[in-house]
Amino acid sequence: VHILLVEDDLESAKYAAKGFTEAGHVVDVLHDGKEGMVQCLQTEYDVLVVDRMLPGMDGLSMVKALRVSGNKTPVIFLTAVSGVDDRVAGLEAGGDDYLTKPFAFSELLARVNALGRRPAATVEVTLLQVGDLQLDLLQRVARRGDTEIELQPREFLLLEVLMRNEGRVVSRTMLLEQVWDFHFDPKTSVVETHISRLRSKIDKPFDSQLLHTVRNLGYSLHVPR
Amino acid sequence: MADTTNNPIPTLPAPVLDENSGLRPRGEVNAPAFLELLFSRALYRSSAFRLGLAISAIYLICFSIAWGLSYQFLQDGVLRRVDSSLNAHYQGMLSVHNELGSDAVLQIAQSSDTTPMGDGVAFQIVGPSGETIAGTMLTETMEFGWWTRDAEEMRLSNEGSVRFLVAPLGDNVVSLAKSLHTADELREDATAGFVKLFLISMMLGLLGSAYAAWRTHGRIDKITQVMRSVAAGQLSRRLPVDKSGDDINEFSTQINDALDRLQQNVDGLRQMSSDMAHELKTPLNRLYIQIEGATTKLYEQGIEVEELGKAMDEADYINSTFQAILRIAQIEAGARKAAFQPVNFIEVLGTVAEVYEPVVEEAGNTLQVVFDPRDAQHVMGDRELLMQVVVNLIENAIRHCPKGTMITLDAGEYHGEPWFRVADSGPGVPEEMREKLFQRMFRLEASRTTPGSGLGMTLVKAVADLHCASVRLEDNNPGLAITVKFEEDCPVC
Repeated sequence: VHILLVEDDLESAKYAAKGFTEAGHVVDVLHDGKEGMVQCLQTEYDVLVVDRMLPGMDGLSMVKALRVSGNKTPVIFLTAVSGVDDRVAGLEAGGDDYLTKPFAFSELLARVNALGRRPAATVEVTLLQVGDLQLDLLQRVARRGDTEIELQPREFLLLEVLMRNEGRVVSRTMLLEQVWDFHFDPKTSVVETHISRLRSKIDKPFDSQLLHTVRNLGYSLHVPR
Repeated sequence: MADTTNNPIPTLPAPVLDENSGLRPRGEVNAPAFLELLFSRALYRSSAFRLGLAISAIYLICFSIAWGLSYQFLQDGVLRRVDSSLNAHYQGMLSVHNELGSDAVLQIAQSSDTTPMGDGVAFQIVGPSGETIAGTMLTETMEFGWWTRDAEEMRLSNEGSVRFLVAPLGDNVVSLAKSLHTADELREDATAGFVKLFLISMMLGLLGSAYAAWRTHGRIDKITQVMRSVAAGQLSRRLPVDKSGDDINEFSTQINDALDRLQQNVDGLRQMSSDMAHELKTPLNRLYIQIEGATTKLYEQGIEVEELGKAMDEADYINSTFQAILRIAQIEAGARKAAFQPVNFIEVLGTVAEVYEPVVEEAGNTLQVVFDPRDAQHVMGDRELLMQVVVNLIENAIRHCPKGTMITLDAGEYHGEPWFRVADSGPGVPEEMREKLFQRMFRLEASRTTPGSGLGMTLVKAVADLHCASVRLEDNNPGLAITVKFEEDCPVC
């Protein structure tokens, strides 16, 4: 995945760039909003990672200008401020995701992976499949092999998010945002509890394990390697 | 519930707060029409109207006193003229009597008209033994001196009062009389005039006061409206000021100046918290990535360092406390009020209950939902903040109660005021400590060992204040019950 990182803190940018390269991505780093804008118009990127506060031109204006010019590259905003209004402003300006500082690099990587490989939205998928696990989005039914699995609506959504990100790590925060619409950090193990419930339904009764815990990062659904 | 199937990041709809929409903030009032005001209770509450009435009353009292005095002067004047006319007659009689003797007086007297009480002077002369010598006017004798008697009482033919002068004339007594009907007419006319003037003045005073009340009422309504929207977070609103330079204008100008300063301070505060956030979060971010980098590097070499995990936890703790402080400051500044929308908090409670039911169970407790999740209770508010309040309350209950605790979620409506309650059957909080729970960083001695920043309840209070809701902590016998009630009459909404 070809990434453009626009971040004014040199050290964070350096570290993130190294991390992206190690994860097998190609990354360009810039420290100024205007430069970032010009670069985007010249080169085709898969994902843009843009800090909200930038010298030259702030991140919000930069993305707004890009969207006006017809550029549809997915954008992740990085920000120090985390109010709802800020998040809404970011999404309205044309951002696709929003990450509040400080964050673990793994969190950023998980989000870049999710956005960078997002399938083209033109084809509506109605059946998700990972190994012998099937999720019928129209009939709202989950099946593993021949066995039908009963899921609560929220468990269904949780499984759907995990299946859409097959093979990629989905962080706790991503699950909180996408499944429960929580934009704050709960003090109790909400995600862990629900994952363990889901696991007891889709994995426990079967031979092979599909839902994996990735240490310190999050969860990943894939066929055992 | 937001459908997040195809849209992994739910976007909130743009805030709607149009003046013409059905969602007008409570308390928005328009200035009433003059006639409407005239028959409303608001008129009697208006200070301008009361002042107007007081001035009218003072005016009417002064007017009555002035009228009374001039009436008295007029009365006295008329009486003096009548008296001097009677006296002149008496002096005439006396000089005739002295110069020509009493027979001459009698002769004149018998030839003159003594009965009718026109404009002229009537008289009667009574001899020493009480017999009438001339004139027939009186039926009784009076002492010497000046008298005013009612004509009817004296069985005289005319109306009104009569003035008498009774005086000696040689051996005889002469009584002279003159009608006071001019004075009577004057009194009647003046009284009628006074009543008319009094009533007209009173009407004008009332109308004038009502008009003044209407004028100021409109302006004060405008001020009330602006101040309400300022309190609701629209700090850019200002009071109208015209060129008349009157006291309300002066007052409005002063308030506008104060609002300018307030806005500067709030803007400054916002700028400062966002600068602070940026300045502190950048190094915090570096700390995160360095700890993470070190952990990964060592992990790849097969080494796990427990201290690094703890360092990460500490960094997390610093971050979440800092985050909570920023959030509370943002909420207390009231900035989010501008984005209020109708929120069905039963749905919010239902969602939180659904999410937390397994978490509560995992902790060895029970979650009991008393309300009907299909019900609806709407309040104007911020869904995310309300959600966080419910989550904070439930998480507090989970973290501070031992296994086997029953956590109850309830909601309803009391006299038009919606409420919800999170109750537990845990150890509870001593009564004298309850208010302290709202203080920043306050933690009960017993809970020092459990994780938390002591900001959860402060946030609950800040969000409740923003929504004009009260937070009540009560004994659940055993345990703690926390009720959040949305007040109907809220000066800020």
